[in-house]
Amino acid sequence: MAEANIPKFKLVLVGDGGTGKTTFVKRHLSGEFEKKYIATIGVEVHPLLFTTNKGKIVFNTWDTAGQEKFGGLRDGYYIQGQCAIIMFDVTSRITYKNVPNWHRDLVRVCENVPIVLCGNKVDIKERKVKAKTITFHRKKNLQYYDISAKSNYNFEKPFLWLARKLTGEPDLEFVEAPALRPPEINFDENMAMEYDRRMKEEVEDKPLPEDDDDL
Amino acid sequence: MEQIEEAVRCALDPGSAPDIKSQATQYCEQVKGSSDGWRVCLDLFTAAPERGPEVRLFALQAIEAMIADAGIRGDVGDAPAKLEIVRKILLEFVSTQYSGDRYRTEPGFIKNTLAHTITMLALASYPTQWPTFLQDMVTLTGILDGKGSSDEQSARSVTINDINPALVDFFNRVLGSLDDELVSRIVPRSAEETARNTEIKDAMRVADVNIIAHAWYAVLLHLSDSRPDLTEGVLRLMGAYVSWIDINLVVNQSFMRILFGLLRIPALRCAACRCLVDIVGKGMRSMEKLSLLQFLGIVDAMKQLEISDTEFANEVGKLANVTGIELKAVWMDKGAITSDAAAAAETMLEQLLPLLLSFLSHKSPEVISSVFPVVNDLLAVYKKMQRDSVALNANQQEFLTKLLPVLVDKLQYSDDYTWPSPTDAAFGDNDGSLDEDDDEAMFNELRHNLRVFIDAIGQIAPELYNSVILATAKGIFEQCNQHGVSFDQGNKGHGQLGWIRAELGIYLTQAYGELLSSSRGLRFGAPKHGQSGTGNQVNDAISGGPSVESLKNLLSMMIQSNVVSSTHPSIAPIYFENVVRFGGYFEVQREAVAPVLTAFLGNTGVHHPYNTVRPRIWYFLHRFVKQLPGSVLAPFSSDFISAVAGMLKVNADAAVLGGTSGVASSYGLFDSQLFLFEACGMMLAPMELDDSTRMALLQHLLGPLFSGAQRLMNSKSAEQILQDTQGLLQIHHYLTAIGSVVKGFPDVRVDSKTTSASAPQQLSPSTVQVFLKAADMCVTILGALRANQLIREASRFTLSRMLGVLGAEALPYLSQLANSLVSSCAVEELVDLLGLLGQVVFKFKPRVAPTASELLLPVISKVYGFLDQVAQNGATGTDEAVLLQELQKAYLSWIVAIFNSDLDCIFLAPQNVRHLITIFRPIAAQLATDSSNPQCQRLAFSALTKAIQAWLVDPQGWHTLATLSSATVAAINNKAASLNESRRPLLRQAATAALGLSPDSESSKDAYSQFRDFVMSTVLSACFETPTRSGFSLADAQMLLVVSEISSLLQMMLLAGMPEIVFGTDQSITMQMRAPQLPFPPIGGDLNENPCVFYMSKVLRDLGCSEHVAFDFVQALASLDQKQFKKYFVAFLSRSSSELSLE
Repeated sequence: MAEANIPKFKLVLVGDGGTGKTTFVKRHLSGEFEKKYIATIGVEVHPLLFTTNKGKIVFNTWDTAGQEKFGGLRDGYYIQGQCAIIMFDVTSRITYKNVPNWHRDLVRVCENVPIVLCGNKVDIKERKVKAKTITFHRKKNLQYYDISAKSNYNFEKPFLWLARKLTGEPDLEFVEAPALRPPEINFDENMAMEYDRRMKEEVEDKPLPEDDDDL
Repeated sequence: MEQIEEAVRCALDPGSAPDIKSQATQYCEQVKGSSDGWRVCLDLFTAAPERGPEVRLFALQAIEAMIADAGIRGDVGDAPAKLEIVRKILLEFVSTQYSGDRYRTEPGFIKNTLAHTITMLALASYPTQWPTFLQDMVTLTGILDGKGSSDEQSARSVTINDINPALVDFFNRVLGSLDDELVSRIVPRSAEETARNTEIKDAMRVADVNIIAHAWYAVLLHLSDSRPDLTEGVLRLMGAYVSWIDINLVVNQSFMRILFGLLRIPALRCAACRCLVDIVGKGMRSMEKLSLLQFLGIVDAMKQLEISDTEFANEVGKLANVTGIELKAVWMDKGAITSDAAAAAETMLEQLLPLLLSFLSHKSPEVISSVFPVVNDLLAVYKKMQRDSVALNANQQEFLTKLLPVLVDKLQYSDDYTWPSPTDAAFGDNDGSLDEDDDEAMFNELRHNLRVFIDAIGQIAPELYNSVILATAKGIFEQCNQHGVSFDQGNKGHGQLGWIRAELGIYLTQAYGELLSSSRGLRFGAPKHGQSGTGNQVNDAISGGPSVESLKNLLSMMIQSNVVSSTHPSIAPIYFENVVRFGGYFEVQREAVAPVLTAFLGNTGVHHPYNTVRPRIWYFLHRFVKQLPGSVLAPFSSDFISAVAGMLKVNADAAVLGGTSGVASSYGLFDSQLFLFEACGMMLAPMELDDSTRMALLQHLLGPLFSGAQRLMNSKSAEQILQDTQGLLQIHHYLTAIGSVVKGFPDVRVDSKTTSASAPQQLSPSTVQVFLKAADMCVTILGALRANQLIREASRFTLSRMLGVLGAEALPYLSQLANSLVSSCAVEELVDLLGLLGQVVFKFKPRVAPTASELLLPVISKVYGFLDQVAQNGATGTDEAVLLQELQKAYLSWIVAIFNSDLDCIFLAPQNVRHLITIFRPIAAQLATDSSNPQCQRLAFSALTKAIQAWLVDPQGWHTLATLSSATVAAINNKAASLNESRRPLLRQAATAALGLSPDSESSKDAYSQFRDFVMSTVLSACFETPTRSGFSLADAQMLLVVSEISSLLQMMLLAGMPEIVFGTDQSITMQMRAPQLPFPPIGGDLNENPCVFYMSKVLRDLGCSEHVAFDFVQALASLDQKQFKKYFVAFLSRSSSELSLE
């Protein structure tokens, strides 16, 4: 397929500084896990290519600065964004608390685009933002994924979901695994299931407290 | 202006050169930061001809930056004048430019951002500088003349021609932005902003919200046909604003007539419904809420709706849900409403119930879940009634009778659920987890919720629950018994049980058992006295509710039905989960073990055709075997080994390894194979097994592992093997597999009281020989390949299992293992290694004193090597920060474990004693004071307390260091005499002797005195500085534990200062001295003679305490017991944290 015919979508990647946005993008580009933290200044744009059962697709990913002081043009980078990922760090509560700010600023510029919320660093055992407390996506109809850039856990999920929304093909699948190196660590399957379970409990956890005093 | 445009273009262009881009970005920053940048930008934004949208967006950002600088109330410096200019120009722009065609071509993000800018302007200047904000906005739309008349009459008098739809759209955007910035609770705000926003809302309630409502009414009235988009926007805003404005502004005859009308218009009915959800859910007093609901006639209105599609059903479901929740709240708000009102609410609620049932029966999981919250609320009410012994009335009972079967029915998988295919990999390359598409997540969530409700009904109406669940499950198993179970058919088939029903039967069995176990615990073994039931059974007979007896029957039926013969991937996992979960059943039904083990070993068990299922079964088999006694297992051992042998071929998959790091936290399928290896070990362990059989089976099992490893080792030189990742991983797997087999054998008990090698023998001599041979091989391999982390990991695991199972027999391997590991291990392994060393000292106590004392310094220097490196460079990322914390914790746990194992003497061994203070200084000065890690703080203080006890209070070793509570101390004191007489050396004394040390030697005394100086100079100040530093909070439970540890330390220290004990090291006194009475009961004694008192008061005075306060403190320390003093200390700290002059 000629390069020019590959559908391209502008993806805006936002979230607080240090949540792992650049690491996440670089993981796709080089397959390497970036250990050092170097704050992004302004924006860096990376084309991420995926091969699907419906053909190739490119996400031109605008990796924006999360830190206030390196913000550059901020909202300006969102112009003509066709989809977005908002990232936070499950080991840092404040980064989750700031998600609504990122969302509000984003949708002001990108109206009605599909957005995925990603909680990164789920490979770390000292998780601070529990699955139970992650509810923002329900209020705003976003898709949510636990991810771990380090272990590749769910790496392609946000892209897959966005690709399906953008193409309107619900049965679109990635046919080749993206060019990822083997994971730096393997995300523990039991831990993953544990998170899934807690995620599921979130709705259920309210039910029927034994001592419901406000009845 | 052109320059700004150029800069913005460059800065946003992904193609521009990095240095140009950064220059351009900097220039933009300068413009934003400059004093008149906003003025230029205002012109830029409004300029004709129109500038590019990117630069206009930037212009608005620059203007917003100025507004932000104007302060929260827009009054910093000359801000009011600037704000006024911005206001005039922007309003002028909106009214001239947006009323015409230009609005259609204006990009959405410019409209939104301008609306946002105007909102920020309003927040900074309403109501003082710009009281007419909302009037101005509504006036622009044409709905209001400048005078602001806003009653309903005037809205009617507005004609469609007066209204400018473009400006209505813009107004909607402003109101949306205002909601975000002023009201929305999702966005975090400072206290200052919140206070200002409250003032603004108050002012708007008085002056302006009626104008907004007036505008909405006009739009609904005139534009709902022609402009559904604007109408939808208004409906959404009404929903958002209704939470804080007077509800009568929207809930009145004229508004509601329109709103209910919209419920019949396909394009708008969902939006109208959502608006009603917000109206019904508004926070109000109960009586008012009831009138509102009555006025709306909401239940009847819903019943009349034609609900054709799922999307709308979902919205109406949510409306029914919120209505039910509100009615329940009114009904239960007994204090605030009349009994008539309560009855009216109850009646309305009952009318709602059929509607709820119809939503619960819907095919869409989303619609079903939409009413879960109200079902939850209702069941909570019924539960409470039951607790208060109030009987449910007939309607309520009837509701439950209808509800339960609906819920049970929805527990079933749907026919079109997508299952993985048999060949799908169990362990993907990427996430290592089972395929979890949305289907599965949705279904699991739904099922879990339904289950909560079903369980609740189990408590509210046990008889109903019992009859429905039992009848359903038994029916399913009976059908299976008669007609067999199908693999591929869900529900159909000729009499044959489909997998959907089969799975439901097994699932209900699990639900039934879990409910029982959570409500009264499962005691399968409850004694049965003939036919006349006792205990449980009597209870069961009375309640007619779930019983252990019924669960037993259900499990028996499940096993006899052979439902597990279905190869459908849904069946085996939950079936085997049940047999593991209700393992107690097999204690009373031994005859059921055989059929279940047969199933485990059959082709829907460990040989299951689905790759995704098989490893799961292996895990369950391991759990199942683990809970059975050896006597039951022994007859099956041979069959077991031959059945699973085929699954035990070890194939290393190098893909699981990362590029740089040496080990992986999971090894794919091999991880699951380890469960099988361990289970094999458990099958071979029973004493009941004939030893020759055991040897044969053990050979069968271990032979391939031994020879595999040896073959690899012999094939190449160590240097070559170290280059061969695949080979190393394969050896790793062999060693780990051997370790897992050993793990299946029970731990030996080590008699740590003696140093002799005669441990009670639990293994047959031939087994010991086999394991020793394995240990030999392991140590040899480690010796050759210790440069590799995989090999180190595997050796550590396997030899630590050997130490557990062989006990003292394996001790000779410990120092070889530890030396190899310490010399070459990486930082990540240190945490595990420290854990192992902690276990070893705990298990072997005095017997490892020599080894432990040799390892002490190398391990400590390894730990500090890393800690210092991080301290110098700072953690380079989250991973390193986490590793650092884990390492600190593991290190301190190990130090504490040394004391708890009564091995304090190893610090005093000749090679270590010189470094005593070097070892403890960082513990006191850094780890104990770092409040970012309270767990470590606590461990640090604990280690120091024990050290003080060991060397300054009880150097002769009369007391164990493992326990310190006042109760145990008292107990020890009483026993001291008899212990003395037994002439058997105490643990601490034995360890000291093992190292050839004496507490009375010059070197020991010198160490005690050095340590005492260190305690007075460093530890004491850490005790007071730590809890008074910023970052330390007495409200934090973990930090409170730190305080508790500190108070123990202080008491111990005071004890150390008591003259008779300090000088207790003097031989002449010791001769006569019996074990000292450790005094938590109060210490007492002459405080003036106690040097610690002197130091303590000095430290307190240095911290700014008065003489009196310091004296009071010391007095409390000496006179209160442990618990009381802790209380006193907490009070002291919270009182004086403000007074104490620390950073």
